[in-house]
Amino acid sequence: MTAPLLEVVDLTCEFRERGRTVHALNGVNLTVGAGETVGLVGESGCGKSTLARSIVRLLMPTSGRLLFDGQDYTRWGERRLRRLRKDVQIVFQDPMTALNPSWTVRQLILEPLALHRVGEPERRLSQVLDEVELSASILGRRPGQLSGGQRQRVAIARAIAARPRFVVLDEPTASVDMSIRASLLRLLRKLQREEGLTYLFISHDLATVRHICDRLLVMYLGKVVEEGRTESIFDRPTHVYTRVLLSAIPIPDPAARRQRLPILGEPPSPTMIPTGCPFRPRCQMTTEECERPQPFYEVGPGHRAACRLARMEPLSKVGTPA
Amino acid sequence: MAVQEVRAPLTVGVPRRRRRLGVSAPVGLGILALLVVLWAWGALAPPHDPLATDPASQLLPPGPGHLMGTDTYGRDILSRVMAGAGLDLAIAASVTGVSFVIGVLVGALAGYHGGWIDDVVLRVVDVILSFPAFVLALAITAVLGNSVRNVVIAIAVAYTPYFVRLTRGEILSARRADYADNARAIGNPSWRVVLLHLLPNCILPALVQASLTMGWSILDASGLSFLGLGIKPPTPEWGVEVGEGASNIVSGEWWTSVFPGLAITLAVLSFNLLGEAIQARFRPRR
Amino acid sequence: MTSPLLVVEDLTIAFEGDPRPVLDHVGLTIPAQGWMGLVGESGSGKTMTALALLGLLPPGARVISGRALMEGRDLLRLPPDELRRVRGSQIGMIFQSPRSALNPLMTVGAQIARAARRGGYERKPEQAALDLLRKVRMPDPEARAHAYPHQLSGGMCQRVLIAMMLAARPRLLIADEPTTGLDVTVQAEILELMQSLHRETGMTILLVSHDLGVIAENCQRVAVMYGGGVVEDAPTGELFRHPRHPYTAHLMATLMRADRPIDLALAVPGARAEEPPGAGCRYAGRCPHAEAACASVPVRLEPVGPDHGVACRRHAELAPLSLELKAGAPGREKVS
Repeated sequence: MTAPLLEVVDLTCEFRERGRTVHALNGVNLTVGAGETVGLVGESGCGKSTLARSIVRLLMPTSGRLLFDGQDYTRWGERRLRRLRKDVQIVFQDPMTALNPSWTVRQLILEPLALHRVGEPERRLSQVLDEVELSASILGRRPGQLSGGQRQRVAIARAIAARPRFVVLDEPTASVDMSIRASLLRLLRKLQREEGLTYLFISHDLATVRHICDRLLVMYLGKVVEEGRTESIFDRPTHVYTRVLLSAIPIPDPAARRQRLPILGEPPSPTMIPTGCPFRPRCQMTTEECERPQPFYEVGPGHRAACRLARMEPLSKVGTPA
Repeated sequence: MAVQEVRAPLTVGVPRRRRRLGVSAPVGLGILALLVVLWAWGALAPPHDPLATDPASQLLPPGPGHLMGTDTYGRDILSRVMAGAGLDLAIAASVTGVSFVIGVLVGALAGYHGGWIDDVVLRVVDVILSFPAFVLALAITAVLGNSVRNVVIAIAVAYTPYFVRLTRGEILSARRADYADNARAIGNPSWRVVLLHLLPNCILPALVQASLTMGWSILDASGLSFLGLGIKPPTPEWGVEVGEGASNIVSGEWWTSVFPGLAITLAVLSFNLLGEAIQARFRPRR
Repeated sequence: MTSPLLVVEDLTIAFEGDPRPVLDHVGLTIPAQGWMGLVGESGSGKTMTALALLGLLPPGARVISGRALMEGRDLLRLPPDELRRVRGSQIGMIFQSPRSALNPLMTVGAQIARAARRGGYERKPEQAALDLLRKVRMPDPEARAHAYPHQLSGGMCQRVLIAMMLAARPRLLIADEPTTGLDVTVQAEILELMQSLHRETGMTILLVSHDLGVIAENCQRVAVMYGGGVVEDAPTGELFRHPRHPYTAHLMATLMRADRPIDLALAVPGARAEEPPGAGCRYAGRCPHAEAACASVPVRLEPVGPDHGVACRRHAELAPLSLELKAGAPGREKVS
């Protein structure tokens, strides 16, 4: 197997907020190979946004390592990071706030080309516009004058203009209308092929993730609780949290019946992480064993879960329509 | 093939009413234009030499030949008011220019960088702001000596902290915005993030303050001259002129003080109105 | 079908100085004790419709025409104090971002107690507040009652709002995106809470949402809005299986389901789509079946079944509309 493009090793990220320590990430491991689309799913407080920002070094992790193309950039200063930023880019969730409201589309897309000294910027500008399926007539407009879908495409154009190799996508379809979501995902896939990109796709929406990700990581309270090939995870969700998550998704089909798995208590706060399995306080199947740190168990080829239920056979299918 | 999409029409929210430009802008601009015309006229072809004394024409009331009358030394007040316009406007521009540039840059640095720089800057600002601006300018002028240059320095010192505080406040909230993160993630070094991305969105309060500072600095400069500090007679400056003519009011020769005083009032008024207009016109749209 | 609780007729709303109405001849029939869904995207007018029914239109918005009849009274023309009474006791509301709808300076218990007092609860208001917190399944209600909104999670705040709404025991609940922005597990719990309240109290619910999954699982009837008008109105099953409006069909075809992936390669963006300036169908710019006349001829809801209405001049010839994404020329969906 070729060396991975991005490696995250035992990443921990803590910061203080209002006098308390927030444990946003607690020993996360992750590898992404070139050309892959890896998905990160989880709900609020799971750390996926912190992980995204750590990977693009908008913040510095407390401990652990980040490697891109084999190089450890965890502690690099701003000057060396400048070079990394040509290769590693990020698209934020809400383009309305992520794009400078007083800049024009033209300025927004030309800036990365100037910063990374890309040759023939005008040519690349029109090429990129073409690729994200936007017309040149919007170049003079500002983000506030565009539709939601157009804005997000400008954000994508800005991110890929300087030809990065790795793009972190933080909920890219969340702020976009439903009828446009599918075509935006299709665009992302097309760009991946045409520009040779590798994606880390972060989302809370499992339906979206199923359509674009090769592999998934399910996160809870700063830890990865399950990971594997997308189809395998949907077919055989093993960790109780994964099963709960899948069972909670409403199905847009009036004839479908789903059985929602109950979840105890209220969403957790990352200021207090339980020992052992982080999901323990809300799990209906928890036992004494779960108080100890959970190892990963093999569920299938490339699919593993940090839950004792992995040892039980057979696994039932959950969260599918009747 | 490039495709465009429907722009989402307005949903709930305040409708985009046609921006009603109030009277502030035209009136403010009008008065300012009048003052500039006065200065230009005085610079190119004043009715009389503002410094030329003429004992025979002492204290003449406004009339043909001397539209604003003459003062105790027979000097034409209109010409002196014109000359004063040039000086006072120049002082205002210098003070505002210096305090704006220094204040905005220091405020942006303090707001973005935080840490010890912010602490030091805040303490200095607090100290300066604990004195009323005029008193501070007075003290500094007394120390430095009486000249136009020192008056400009003194007043600029007094007003720079306002720009620092305003800009720092705006930058503090803007630096947490997603577009600031985005600018960093794209590869911008910090100075570009602050100057090119954050400042354009944070500059509005400072611009309004700049307009107000133009007016206030004229008040301060003329106040200092009135008290006998800073700029001294016979230099034609509005405050000097008001001071020279003050004693004449009692004896009924009101024109010696009132006309320069009116000029000060109009100048301050125009800058206040312009400040209002800037604020109204460029209120952030959302 | 039971008799309607609320009938909206021909509702047209525009902002002052804006020739294009924000709501254009909107008509809705909400069955008593039923659960109705209002689906649309940003700019469709669904939130504006909800606000109009509550008398909470933003400044500058004017009702140009139409009525909203509830028990013989036109909600749009009630005098202000009547309207306030109706809003408190007959119609309840919950919105998105529950925390911002709560007073940050009062404990939630106090806020619920106040609502209970206004709703004429027999028991002491503090006791009523605890009762209501239990009814909305708030864990540890005694402790939570003394909490301030910023100390509670989004899901808990939404429960508090539901409790406050229940205090008045309204006949109709208008819920505008009540679970948008909440985690999916929390959303599931809130929806289940609403379901049980609906069953137990017979409260009528109008659920405004952009999430078709939420709509499909809970609503008996659905109205689809686009560009300020209702384009289709049908029982839920009918709408999902046999949509008659091209926009509805497009939504169904591009729906990404977690249980059944679609082929994204076929999801090409719609045809050139600046909003047509004419008086016709507002979807004409994006509609693959649009003809020249569609942009200029006004459309209204027409019945195509006993309780199924469509606003499309070509609905008869286009039926049945395909629910599958088919390969074809970019920008055109093939009609099966």
